[in-house]
Amino acid sequence: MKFRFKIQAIFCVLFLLLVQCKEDDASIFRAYVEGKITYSDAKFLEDPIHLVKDKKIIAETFPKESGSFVLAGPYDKGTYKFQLKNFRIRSFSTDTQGCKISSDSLSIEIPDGVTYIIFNDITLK
Amino acid sequence: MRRFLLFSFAVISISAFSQRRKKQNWTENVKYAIEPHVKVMTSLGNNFMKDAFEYFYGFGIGGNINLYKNFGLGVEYTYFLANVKRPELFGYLGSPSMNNFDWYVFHQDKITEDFFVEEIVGYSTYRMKSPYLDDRGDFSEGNGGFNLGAKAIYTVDDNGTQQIVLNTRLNFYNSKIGNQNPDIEKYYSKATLLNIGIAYRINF
Repeated sequence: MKFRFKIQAIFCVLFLLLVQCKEDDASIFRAYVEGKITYSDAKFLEDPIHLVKDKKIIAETFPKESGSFVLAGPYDKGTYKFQLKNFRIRSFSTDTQGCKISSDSLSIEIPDGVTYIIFNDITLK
Repeated sequence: MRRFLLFSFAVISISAFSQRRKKQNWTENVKYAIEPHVKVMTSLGNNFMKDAFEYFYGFGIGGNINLYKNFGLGVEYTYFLANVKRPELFGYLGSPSMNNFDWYVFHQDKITEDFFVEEIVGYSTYRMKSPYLDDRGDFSEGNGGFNLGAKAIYTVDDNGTQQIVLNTRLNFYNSKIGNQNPDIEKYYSKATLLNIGIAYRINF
């Protein structure tokens, strides 16, 4: 009787092990955007800057005094935006193809599938 | 002929009996232990787990079976919580919680009558969940990796039922977070986690 109980206990442990071994979803990314913003008004540093996808924020930070920033957030697919709150973007430079300033000038649109970008210089209006 | 049959019958019965005896001995030596624990975990090296979070604090329960001689199998479950130190590296997410299972094989060395050391090798699984701050649901990441560790065990009572266990372990965290830049991918996918914990073990 005691023997049987012990064997059952071992089986329980093995069963738990099997339950634990499940596949991991492979299509998760972290979007990683870094760069430098040239600004003239010190008020710019008071607002956070964002990565936004489908009107939902995926990353948030405050730029440093030097204007440099790092933004990283969870991402799966689709276009997303680097977005400022109150300041408009005049120009930017990057090696990545396909980025453009949105019609309201508040954000830079980043194409689908791009997960690593450096904006060397973002100049504000 | 009859003599031979009697003799062989005797041999068979003796061998069967002795085999049963052996089997019984084997199972009688199997020992069980259960141990609730608390742990502190930090990440080593260059990875987001180290940069983005403060210490992970966790609690959980483990059990092990000493199967043969001083070798055995064990499992530990730990629920970890951590605070975010640098949200810009982590994303617009709340504080993570982690479900962690450690499966291992151990070998116990007796140092003195009431002090033991166990060496551990095994496999761990992780699932780290963080709530989206701007959306419903959780962002979930993590996978599995090897673990290596050691336990120091002190017996605190006369019959050896209750023991205090100090627990150190290195876990190799491995997830699949993609990025176009391989360095960034590695930064978000791999980490070496150092666990230190204390547990109260009950043997039965």
